[in-house]
Amino acid sequence: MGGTQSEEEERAEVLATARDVAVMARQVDLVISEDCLPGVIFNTELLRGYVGLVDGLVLPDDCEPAFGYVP
Amino acid sequence: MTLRAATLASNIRFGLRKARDVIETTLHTLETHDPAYGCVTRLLSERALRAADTIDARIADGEPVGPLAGVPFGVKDLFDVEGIVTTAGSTVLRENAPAVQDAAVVRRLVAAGAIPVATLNMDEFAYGFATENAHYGTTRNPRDPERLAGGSSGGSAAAVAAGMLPLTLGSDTNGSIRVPASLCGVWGLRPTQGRLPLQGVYPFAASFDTIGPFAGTVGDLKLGFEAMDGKARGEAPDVGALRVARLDGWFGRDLAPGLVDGLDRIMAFFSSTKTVELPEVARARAAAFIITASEGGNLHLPRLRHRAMEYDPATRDRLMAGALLPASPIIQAHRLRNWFRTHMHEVFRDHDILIAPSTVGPAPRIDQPMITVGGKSVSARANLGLFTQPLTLAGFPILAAPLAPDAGGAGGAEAGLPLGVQIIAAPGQEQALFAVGAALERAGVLGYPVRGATEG
Repeated sequence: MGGTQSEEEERAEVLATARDVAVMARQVDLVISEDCLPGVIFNTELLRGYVGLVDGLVLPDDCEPAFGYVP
Repeated sequence: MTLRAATLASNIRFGLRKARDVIETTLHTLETHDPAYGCVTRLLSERALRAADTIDARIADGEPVGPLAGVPFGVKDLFDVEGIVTTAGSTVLRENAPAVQDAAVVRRLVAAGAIPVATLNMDEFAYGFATENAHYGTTRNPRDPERLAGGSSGGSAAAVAAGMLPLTLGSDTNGSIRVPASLCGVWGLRPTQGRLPLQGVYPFAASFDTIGPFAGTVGDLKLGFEAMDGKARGEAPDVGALRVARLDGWFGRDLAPGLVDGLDRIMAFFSSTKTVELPEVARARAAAFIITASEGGNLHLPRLRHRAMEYDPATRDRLMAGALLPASPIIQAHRLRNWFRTHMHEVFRDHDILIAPSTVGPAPRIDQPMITVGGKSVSARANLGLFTQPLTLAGFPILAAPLAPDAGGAGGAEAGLPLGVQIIAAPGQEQALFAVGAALERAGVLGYPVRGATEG
């Protein structure tokens, strides 16, 4: 039963990500076709893991972004 | 006769060999040997032969011809070559106008006498570590054609490893020079971020995009870099006086036994037992992932809106996910980059050279593209940059060097396959990297012989 529940949780998580992807895609005027959706969901989940890692480091307020623009 | 760039140029300059003969032989070698490896996407035969005749005529007239006179070279298919369309490993750009001039570094190499002979295969838009390209095929590793060449500059590394070209150009955003150099057993250089001009190079992630050479020896690599750099050469340091340390922690895990042995030999050469553990390496790698995905996604978003199905599916889905990233984590990743760079500079206050592995082990099989990380089998395509991506974030110059076969070959079924290391210096210290590479090559610790097609 535990395994089934885990699968259901996993399915729910994928559906939630699919909804998030749809919202984010609308924000940048991108239509993601059915063919692309599984791959985009997979990569979005992957990136979320990296976002969690990056957000997990508390940086001092005076640590500026390292953008490369030099006027 | 060897296909070493330095020897070829010397023989041509002194009249021992005609540039035309070298170029004809090289084109024939590429035509006959490359089908086994899939490095070449286009031959530039007509232009190359014309350039060779010009070099020969100049020599006959006693005019100067440059340090790379008559040396054939290939370029990853994202460098502009006058008169042809730059594909960036995709078919999406095929309706673009042909390049009106060569990329800046190609112009510099041509000015030094070198002759472009071919464009070379890559992962689509440089987004990958495998050179498995849905449009142009998979580049096979000349050390074992059943294995990946690595990517994204796989065609460039494999062409040198196969002995088909003495010098090639690649790009390195997250490890695209260092990973294939390591898996193919050749030398490569990711120069200091921003040192070489990117004019005429198709972009991927502007924050990290860097270009550099591949070669079969460190001497040829230096020759190629100096022509690409176009500046006065810096003074080489006294190698014996350099403070050398090995990167530990993140960079000491999951290593093939041959790599551990090779790293030990390098440290023994320097009589150093120093190790350094960089802070927050997993987060540094995550920041590199986020910046790359978001910048690549943004770059391609206009085309993804209308022509998504023309992309390689693996590239497309990653670019789409990157284009959806919100601003906050992207800015946080750039702040983390600043923080990490500060720590790297602190490390270099007490050290001159850092040593690290390039990959966890030898080239994965094409039919089983997996590597072991943390005891788990994971996708090679996504994880071959485990050791290169975090260092990308800092933008310091890195020499990708092959361990000598006796110094660090893999064991068992992977015996004889190349393994590679990263040699890292402070920004602008490329000459220190070449000096270290040359000393270790002379000592028999670094350097992997290129294959039989070197006979030219």
